[in-house]
Parts: sequence; C-alpha cells; structure tokens
Amino acid sequence: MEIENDILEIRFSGNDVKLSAVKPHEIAELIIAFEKSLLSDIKTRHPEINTTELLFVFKEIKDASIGVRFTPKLINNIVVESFLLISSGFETGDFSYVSNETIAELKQITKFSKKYNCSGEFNLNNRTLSSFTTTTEIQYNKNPIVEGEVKLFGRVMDSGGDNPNVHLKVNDEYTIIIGTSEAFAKELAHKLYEKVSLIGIAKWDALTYEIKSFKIQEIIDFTPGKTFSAILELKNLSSGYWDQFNTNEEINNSLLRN
Amino acid sequence: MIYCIDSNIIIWGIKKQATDGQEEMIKRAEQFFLHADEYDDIILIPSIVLAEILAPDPPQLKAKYIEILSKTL
Repeated sequence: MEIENDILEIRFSGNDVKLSAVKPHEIAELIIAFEKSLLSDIKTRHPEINTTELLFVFKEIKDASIGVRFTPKLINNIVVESFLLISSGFETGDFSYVSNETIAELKQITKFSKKYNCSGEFNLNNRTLSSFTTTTEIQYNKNPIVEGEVKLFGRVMDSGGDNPNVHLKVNDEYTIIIGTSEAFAKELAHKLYEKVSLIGIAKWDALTYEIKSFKIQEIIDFTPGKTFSAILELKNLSSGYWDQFNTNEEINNSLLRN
Repeated sequence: MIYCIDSNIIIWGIKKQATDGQEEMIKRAEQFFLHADEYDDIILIPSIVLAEILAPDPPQLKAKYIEILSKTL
C-alpha cells in the first residue's frame, strides 16, 4: 500500500448518531480538535518540523454514522506515527507519552462522544486501531514540580486576613495569592498598590511555569527610575573588558554566539 | 512596560569607549535606559545574560555588580 494513500479516520457510531443530527460547528470543532491533537504531538516529538505547513489534509466526512477522514500530505510517516501513538493511548489508557496540549484536544473528541452517547474509533486505512466510549476519561499528566529561590515582582493588591495572605498582581492576567506570616502581611499592607519585589522559595510547574507555592523570605521595595544610574555605576565599576569589542558582531563572537 | 534584555544592550551601556563610527551604540543603549526610567518601565535581566556579562570580570566585582542590579532592576 502506498503510504501517501493512508487514511486516518475518527468514526463515531451508535445511538443513531449521524451528520443530520449534529450541528455543523460541532463537526468543525471535531476536525479542529483532531488537527490540533496531531499537530501538537508532532511538534512535541519533532520540534524541527514546521507544523504551520500543510502536513495532512481533510479528506472527507462519511455519513454512515460520522467518519471524519484525513490523509497525510507531507512527512507521511511522522503524521501516521503520531496518529498511531494517540490512538494507542485509547487502547491502553496510558496517555503519559503525549503532551497535555494534545490531551486537551483529545478531550474535545471524547466530549463529543459523551454528548451524543455514541462510541468512537480510531481507524487507519479502514482498520480499527482503538476505540472509546462515553465513559472514557483522559487524565492530564502531572507536570514535574521544581523548587528554588526566585524573586517575584508585582503590585500589592491586598494583604491581611484571618489566614494572612498577599495578593500580588504580576501582570494584567496573573495575580498570585501568597500565604504568609502576619509580620510580612502587615509589612506589605503598608505597601498597598505599590510595586514590590518578593524574594523567597517557590515551587513551580516546570512546563507551564505556574507557581504552585511561594514562601516569602524578604521584601524589597521597588523604586523605578534608577536603571540609568545603575548602568552608570556598572560602567564605573567595570574592568573595561568589553571595551575591546567594538561591534555587535565582535561582542557576539566573544559570547560564542556566532 | 516590561523589557527583557539581552547582553548586548548592557554591554553597550557599560562600555566606556567605542571606536569611530560606533559611538552611537553607547548613546542608543543609554537612551534606552533613560527612556525606561522616564516611563517607570521594568527591565528584566535573564540569569544567563548576567552570567555572560560577569564572566570576564574579576570575582570581587561580581558581587558588587549583582548588588547594584538587584536594587534597581
């Protein structure tokens, strides 16, 4: 069989599920979830591959139940490899070797199965590799946690409470709530709406960088507007080593970047 | 605004001299830091960048560098 003719399919059947009973956008979402799950797996496993290229294409939808079909266009073996790996997860129940990004997309696929009370199959060239049902659950993998000393910078939005804690706004999208001692909470309450740096021991997700816990050890006031004077101080202090390099290219060479 | 800067801009900022035609690079680096100060911007220096800048300097200077950077950046 020619590899370029491979047909990758997700098929839903049972409970009389069919195209005419499903909203068009739900089919579109299935196609997107399939595409994203495969691409994120390829990207994780083969970072050298440009996943913005057209690696595989949508082929057709079969109305006998619902079969969404795709076919590889480039790097056929890698596309099929990822499809096989993903589908084998449904066979074994072990998704530890796929990323959480991929799992998030696969959850969209199983969500469809739950909604329409139907089962699903992963098929390669009309051969069923694995299947899932309405009870299939995919758990996210737990990422490794790292611990170390960090400096958190942000704006104090709140500080105090029966269980003393500090709300530190790191940016517009992220405010971290830090449990702390009464002494630190009191000290930070005096800096309400001010920017501070907090030095302490943090535990964070090694993949997403989300901070899981933080223990304050020291509070440092942030005084903006002093970077230029700091640079001048460093200039005076410098041994002059960098004066021997006179272009960015020379500097990059000395930094072993070229 | 938050800026995360590379080694080159700090190196140009702390260089005491430049050869003919390169003086502008020092001025541009200084202007960047002046601008950041004017707008209370935050400047982040990755640890690898700090290591690159400090590596050639004598050990006794390194602690002083970090002290200056820690209280301002």
